[in-house]
Amino acid sequence: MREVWRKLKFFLQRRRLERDLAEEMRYHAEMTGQARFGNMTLLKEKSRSEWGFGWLDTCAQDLRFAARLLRKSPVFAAVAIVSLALGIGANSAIFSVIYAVVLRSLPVQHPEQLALLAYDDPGEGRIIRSFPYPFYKELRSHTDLFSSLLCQAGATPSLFVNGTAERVTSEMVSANYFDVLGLHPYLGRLFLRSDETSAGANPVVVLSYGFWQRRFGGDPKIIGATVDLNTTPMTIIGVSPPEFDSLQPGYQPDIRVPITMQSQMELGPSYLESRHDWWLNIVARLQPGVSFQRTASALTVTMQAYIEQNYTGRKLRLFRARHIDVLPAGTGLETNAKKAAKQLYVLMAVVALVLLSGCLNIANLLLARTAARQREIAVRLALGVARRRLIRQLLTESLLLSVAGAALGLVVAFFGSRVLVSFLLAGQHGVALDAKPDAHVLAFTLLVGLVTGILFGIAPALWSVRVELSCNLKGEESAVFGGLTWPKAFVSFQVALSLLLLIGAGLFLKSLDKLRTLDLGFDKHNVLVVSADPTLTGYSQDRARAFYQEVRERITHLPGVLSVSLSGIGLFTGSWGSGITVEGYQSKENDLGPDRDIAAPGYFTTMRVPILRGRDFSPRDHAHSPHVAIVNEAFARYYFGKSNPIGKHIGPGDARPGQADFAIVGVVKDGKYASLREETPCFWYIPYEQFNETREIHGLRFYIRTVDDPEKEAGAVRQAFRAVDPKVPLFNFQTLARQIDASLATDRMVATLSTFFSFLATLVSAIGLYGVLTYAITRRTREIGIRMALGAQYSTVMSSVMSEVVVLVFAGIGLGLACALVLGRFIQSLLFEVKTSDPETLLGAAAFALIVTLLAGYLPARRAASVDPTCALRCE
Amino acid sequence: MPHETADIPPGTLHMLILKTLRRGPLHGYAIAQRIHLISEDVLQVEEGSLYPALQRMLIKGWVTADWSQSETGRRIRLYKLTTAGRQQLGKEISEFDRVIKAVYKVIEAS
Repeated sequence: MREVWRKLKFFLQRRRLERDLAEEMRYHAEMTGQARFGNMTLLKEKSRSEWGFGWLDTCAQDLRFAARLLRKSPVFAAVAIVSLALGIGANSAIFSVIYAVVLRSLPVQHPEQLALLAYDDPGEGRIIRSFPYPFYKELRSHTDLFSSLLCQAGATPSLFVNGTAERVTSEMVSANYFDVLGLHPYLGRLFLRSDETSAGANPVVVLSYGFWQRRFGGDPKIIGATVDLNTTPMTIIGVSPPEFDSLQPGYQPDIRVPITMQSQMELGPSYLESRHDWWLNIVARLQPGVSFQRTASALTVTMQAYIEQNYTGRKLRLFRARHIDVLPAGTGLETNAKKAAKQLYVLMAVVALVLLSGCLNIANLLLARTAARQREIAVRLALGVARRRLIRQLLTESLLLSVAGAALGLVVAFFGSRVLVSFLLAGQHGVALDAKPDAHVLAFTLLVGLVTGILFGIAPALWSVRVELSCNLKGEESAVFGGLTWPKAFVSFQVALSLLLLIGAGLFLKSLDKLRTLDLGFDKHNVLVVSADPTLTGYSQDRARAFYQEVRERITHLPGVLSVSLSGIGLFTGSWGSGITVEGYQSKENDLGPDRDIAAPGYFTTMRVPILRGRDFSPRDHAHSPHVAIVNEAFARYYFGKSNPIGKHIGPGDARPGQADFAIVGVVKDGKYASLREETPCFWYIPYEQFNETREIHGLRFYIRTVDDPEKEAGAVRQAFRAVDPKVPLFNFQTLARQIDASLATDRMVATLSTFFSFLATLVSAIGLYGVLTYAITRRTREIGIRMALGAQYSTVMSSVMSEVVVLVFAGIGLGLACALVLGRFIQSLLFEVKTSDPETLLGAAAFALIVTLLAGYLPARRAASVDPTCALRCE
Repeated sequence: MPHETADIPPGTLHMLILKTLRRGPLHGYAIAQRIHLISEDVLQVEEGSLYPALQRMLIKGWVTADWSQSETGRRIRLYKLTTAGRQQLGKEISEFDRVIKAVYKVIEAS
C-alpha cells in the first residue's frame, strides 16, 4: 500500500526526479569519463521504468493519442459528445431529482434510526399515520425500543404583525422535536421540556430560517418579540437551523409551535385529551440494534390494548384489526413529491433507454471509423503491438468521448433538474426542492459516463483487432464487416427501443387525456375560487355568516358575474368523512361512511351540477327553517336502492336525538370531489346556515361563475371583499380549472417528457438506420455498379436494398411489441382507465415507428439505385 | 589493475548497495567505488544496473535521496539507508547466507 502511494508521489514529481537523475548521472559520468559511461538515454529509460510508471505512462500516451485523433475529426467528436451530453445530462437530471426526493437522508443526527409509525386500516384500505395524543403519551414509556419519540401535526394559522394578517404554514410539534433530531438553534433557543405542559399554556414560536429571512429580514432583534397567531399573542423564542426544512423533504413550514397550542392554532376544540381523535404523526428514534419488525409487533400489542380500552361495539371490531407498521423515515416522510417516485423511476428508465439507443449509434459510428482505420491497426499489429494494448487504446478513445459528454451533461442536468422540479411542484405552495446536482449526482454522472463509454466502445474495439493481417497489408478491403452483422443488429434493437418508448408515451398521453376530459359532474370552466376566513380576525360565527352574506350580495351584482355560491371543504382540496344516520337503514359492518360538505344556496346551480330529483338549496333554507339535505346518486343508490330518497331523514353518524332531522330535498348527479382518480363516494350536503354541530366553521370557499374569463373578474372580486372588511385574509385565489389542472402535474410531467424522449429515441434510431445503410451502400457501390451494368433495373436494386431494411425494421418492431407487452405491467398502476395492451396505442406507435424508419431507409436505398454504373466501376 | 573484474552475482546487488550505505550516506558514484574497493577490485557495479537499482530501492522505501554539497563544493545526491532498508538488509543477508551454505554443501558433496 505504502509503495503504491510512493509511486504516485514519484509520478507527480516525475519532472523533478528526472532532472535529479540526469544531474547525478552527469556527475557520475564526469568522475569516470564519458567514454566509459555508455548509453545515457538508455540508462535513463531503464531507471525511469523502475519507478513503475509504465501503466500510468501508457495511459497518458493513449489519452494524448485519442485526443489527437478526435481533434482530427471534429465533426464526429462534436456530434458524439453533444449527443452523449444530452443523454447523460437527462439521466443525471432525473437522478438528481430522485436523489433529492427519495434517497437523500434528512440533515439530522443518525437519520437511519428514525421511524414513522403507521397502521394499515383494513376498513379504509389504506395506510394511516395519525394517532391520538394520549396514545402518544402512552408510547413514550417504551424506552426499550426507542430512545425518544416525537409527534407533529400541521396547521395554517394567521400571523398578525403590525396590523397585517398573513396565513403561515406551521407545524405543531412535541417540545422534544428538535432534541430528538439533534438540531441546534440558529438564533435564540428551541423548545424545552417546559414548553409542553398543558393545553394553551405554551405561547412560544420558533421561526424557520427561511421565514425569518423572508418576513423579518433576518432581524436578530425579533427574538423575544410578541406576535399574534390567530388571536393568541405568542413570543418568538428562536430560529431553527437553515439546513433543516422539515421531516418532509421540500416542505418548509414557516413556524413551529408546541403541540399544546393546537386549539389556538386551529381555533377549534382541543384534541389533546381526546382518546378518539387520530390526528398526530409519530416519529420514533429507535434504539441501536432494535429492528423495525420487533418494534412494530411490540407497538401493535400496545395499540390493541389502547383500542380495547377506548372503543366498544362496531368500532372496536373494526379497529382491532389495525396493525402498526414501522416505516424507515431517514429520508423523510411521504410528500407529494415522494409519491411521484414511481413516475420518476419510469422516467429514469425512459432516459436510460434513450441513452442506450444513442450509445448504439455511437458504437456504429465507431465501427465505421475503425473499419476505416483497419490498415493502421494492421500495421501496428504487424509491428508487434499487443492486442490488449490496442483494445485499451481504442477504449480510451471512447472513454474520452463519454467522459467529455458526461462533463457537458452536468450542465444539461443543472437546467434539466430545474425543469423537473417545476413540473413536480406545480401548484404547490410552501414547497421547494433543492435538486441541484451535488457530489452524489457528480459521481452518478461520472459512473454513467464510464459505463456508456465502455458500452459503445467495447464492440468496436474487440472487432477492430480481429483484422486479417495479410489482407490489409496488401491494401485490400477485408470482409470483416462484410455482413455488417453488428450494426444491423444494433439498428433493429434501436427500432425496438424507440417503439417501446413510443408505446409508453402513447399510453401516458391517452391516460392524461382521459383524466382531462373526465366527466367531473360539474362545469369547471369560468369559475373563480377564493377562500376567506373572518373568524381568524376575531369574528363570531354569527358575524361571519353576515360577512359571507354581504360579500355574496356584492359579488352577485358585479357585471361579469353570473352567480356565486359557497361551500366548506370545496372541490379538490380534501375530504370530510362523516358517519351517517339514515332513517330506515340498518348500518352494515363494512360501511365506509359517506363524505359530506356544507353549501350555500344555489351551489348546484352555480357549479352546474345536474339536479336529478327535487331542488337546489335556496335562501329559504336558513338556520330557523326545517333542516334539509341534498345527496348524490351514489348516496341514494347505496342507502335507498331503487326507492325515492326525497323526504327521507338523515343526520351525522354520532347524531344526538334531533340531529338526524335533515330531510332530503334533492338528488344530484355523481361527480368527482377530492381527486380525479377517486371512486365516486357517497356524498351529502347541508346548508351551511343549518350546520349545528360542536365543530365550528372556519372559512368558506367562494365559487364565482363568470360570463367569460374568470381572471378578468379577480380584481373586482377582491375589491368586493375589501369593501366589506379589508382585514379579512383571502387565500387560494385561483380559477377552478387551474386548480384541477394542478392535480395533474405529475401525470403531465410523465406524459410530456416520455413523449419528448420517445420522439428523440425514434429520431436517434432513424439516424442510426440511415447511417448504417449509407455506409453499407458506399461499400457496395462497385457491386451495385456491376449489377446495373449487367442489366439490373432501378426497381431491382431498390427492392433488394429495401427488403433488407424491411427485415431490420420488422425485427425491431416485433421485438419492441413483445417488450412492451411484457414490461407494460410496470406502468399499469400509473395509467388511468387505459390498459397497457391498448391496441389503438400499440398499433399507432408501431405505425409511426414503421413510417419513420422506412423513410430513413428509403433515402439511402434511392441513392443506391441511382448509382451511375460507369462512374461506380471507374472509381477503383 | 592486477585483478580481473567479475559480474555481480544475480540478486545480490541490492544487498551490496544496502550494506555499503550502512556506514553512512553516499552518492551513486561513491557507492560503485566503495563496492569496487572493498571487494578488492573484483566486483564492478555497472552504471547501467546501479541507477535503475537505486530508483527501485527509492520506490520500495529502503533508501531516501537528498541533495547536498560535496567536499569540493559540487552538488551531489546522497542516498541514505532507512529503517525499512536496514531490515531488508538483514533479510537479504540471511537469505544469501542460507543459499551460499546450500551451494557449498552441494559443491563439497561431489
